Amino acid sequence: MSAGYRAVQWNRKKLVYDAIMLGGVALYIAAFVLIGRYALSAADDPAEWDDLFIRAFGSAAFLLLTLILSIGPLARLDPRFLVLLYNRRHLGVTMFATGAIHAALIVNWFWVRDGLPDLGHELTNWPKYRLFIGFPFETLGIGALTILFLMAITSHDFWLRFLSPPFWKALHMAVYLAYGLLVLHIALGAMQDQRAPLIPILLGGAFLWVASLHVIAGRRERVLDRGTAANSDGWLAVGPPSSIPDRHATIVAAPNGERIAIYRDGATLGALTNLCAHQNGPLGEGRIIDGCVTCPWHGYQYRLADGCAPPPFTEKLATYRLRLSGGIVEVNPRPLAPGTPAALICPSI
Amino acid sequence: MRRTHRAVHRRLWPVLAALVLLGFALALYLRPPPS
Repeated sequence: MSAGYRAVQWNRKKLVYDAIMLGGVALYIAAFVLIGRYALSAADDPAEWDDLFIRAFGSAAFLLLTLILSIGPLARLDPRFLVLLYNRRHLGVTMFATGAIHAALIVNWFWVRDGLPDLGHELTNWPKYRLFIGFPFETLGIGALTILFLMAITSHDFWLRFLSPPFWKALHMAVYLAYGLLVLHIALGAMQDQRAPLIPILLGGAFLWVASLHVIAGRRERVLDRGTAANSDGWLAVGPPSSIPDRHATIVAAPNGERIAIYRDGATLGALTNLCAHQNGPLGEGRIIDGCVTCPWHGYQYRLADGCAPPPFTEKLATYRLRLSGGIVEVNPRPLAPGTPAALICPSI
Repeated sequence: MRRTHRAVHRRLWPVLAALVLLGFALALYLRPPPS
């Protein structure tokens, strides 16, 4: 963790992030309802108003989830988007709350019209589950909301530590399933009710946008994961010391191995695992701030010399041995115990 | 993300995306005509 960066605590950066996020959601819902009010022919009908709010919150939640799923690949392709990643969990919880309000408004719609039994009948009309058009699309929304609920309640760092970063990350990757369920929820619900081309264009466009970003970012990742062939004695070539940008890293991996971040801070070189101890973020895509390797995701910091977080923090990362061979930096892909000093000084840089 | 996460992600994600795309296309094609 970091003393200077104040990573996972309330700070001005997070407050500004949250204010923009909540303001944006409020503005979207207000604009949706106002535009809808003028577009409707029967705007004085209370049912139409209820419907407007239901669609406003539902579409806001879907657009928020589309944004959330875009942040990861965008940040990978262009570091300027890392600012969006910094507080993505608050965006996720807001998206869940928006979706939950959408669901609550639907239940309320049936409640005030004494129609709750109708809703129950719709959800338990088993023959309809064999249909495609006519499938109880509400079930798909409930499924997505259940996944998003599990993610929202486990989003705090307590659960990250309790479940361990690898398991937590695996659990939170269920967000893709939730997104798929939501696309089908809209396709079999709102898109069937309304013939206007806007819904299919927006829905299909959002899905293709997310899919394309993941394909583009995934191609880059695949190249990295192919790894570097090891020398006869098992060491991996990184390149000349000057090829590693100052205060930044070059990332290498052995075939079938985890990635290693080789950082340079002036004449000092150090190799750390590319996995941040917090959320397994890509440490090698960060930079050195205040003399410490800083994770680009949430600002967790580690000393280059031994992979230890500066006091009072206690996180430790695995380090790797480095050597210079014929002017080329090489790294041994076998990790050392977390916190083992392994930096290399290259006065010739 | 760990290598295992990325590997699982790479295998499952395209299958899920293809299923969703198929579902979306069918839902669009089979939409009932306007009443």
